[in-house]
Amino acid sequence: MRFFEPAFVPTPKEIDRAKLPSSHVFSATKAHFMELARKEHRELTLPEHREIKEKVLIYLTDLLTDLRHKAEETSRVPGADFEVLRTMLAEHALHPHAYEDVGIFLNEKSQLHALAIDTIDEFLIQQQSIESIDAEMESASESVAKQREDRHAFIQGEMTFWQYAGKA
Amino acid sequence: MTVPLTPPIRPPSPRASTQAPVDVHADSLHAIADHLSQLNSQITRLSQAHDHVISALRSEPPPGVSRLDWIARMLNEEN
Repeated sequence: MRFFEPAFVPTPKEIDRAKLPSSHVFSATKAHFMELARKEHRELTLPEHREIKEKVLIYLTDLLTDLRHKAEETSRVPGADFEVLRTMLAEHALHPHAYEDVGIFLNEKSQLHALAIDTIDEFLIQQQSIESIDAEMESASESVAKQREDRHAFIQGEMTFWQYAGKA
Repeated sequence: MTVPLTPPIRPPSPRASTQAPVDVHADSLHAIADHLSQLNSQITRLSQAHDHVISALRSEPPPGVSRLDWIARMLNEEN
């Protein structure tokens, strides 16, 4: 398949058409612009850098959404089931791989919280970085402002959720 | 004779001027990519454990098998 040939770097339009997961969209967009800059013996331009960073934000948004779904799913597990799992861990009734999975699951709340905080921190750093690129480009158009507002609203919602989840 | 407290400043290497400028944008993007890939692998491992445990808890034991034994059996199966 042409898309996966190592020498072939898809263009942003081809990447959009391929409907890839956001992690792949970020990598493919980064590879495209870096290859272009390499061929033309120059550094990345601000608009290229901005476009790659926009893809990072979409990727981070998806990561946070996944984490939140996991947290919501775990909150629906009955307390009795947690007791069953703790009993199994205490009695060593499990194979090592299952023992590890149950250990991760029982500690999931704190791990999810730590991962979400890390993702939010990265999100805020990237958002700030895009804003400084926008300022450099002096092209804060209406759509850019709208995107920024949407991102602020999303991250505010996530911060409130994870602050509450951390205390609960 | 007084000994200088700080080492003398080394003049810039003549090779430095012939090297290509470091692309700070590219460097920061590589660092972000590494960080995200680390985050992603942690989330993937957590998700595998989560899915495995949740599917064991949700499965119904066949008649005559206790729920505890059934969950243990389901958990002990390889993913």
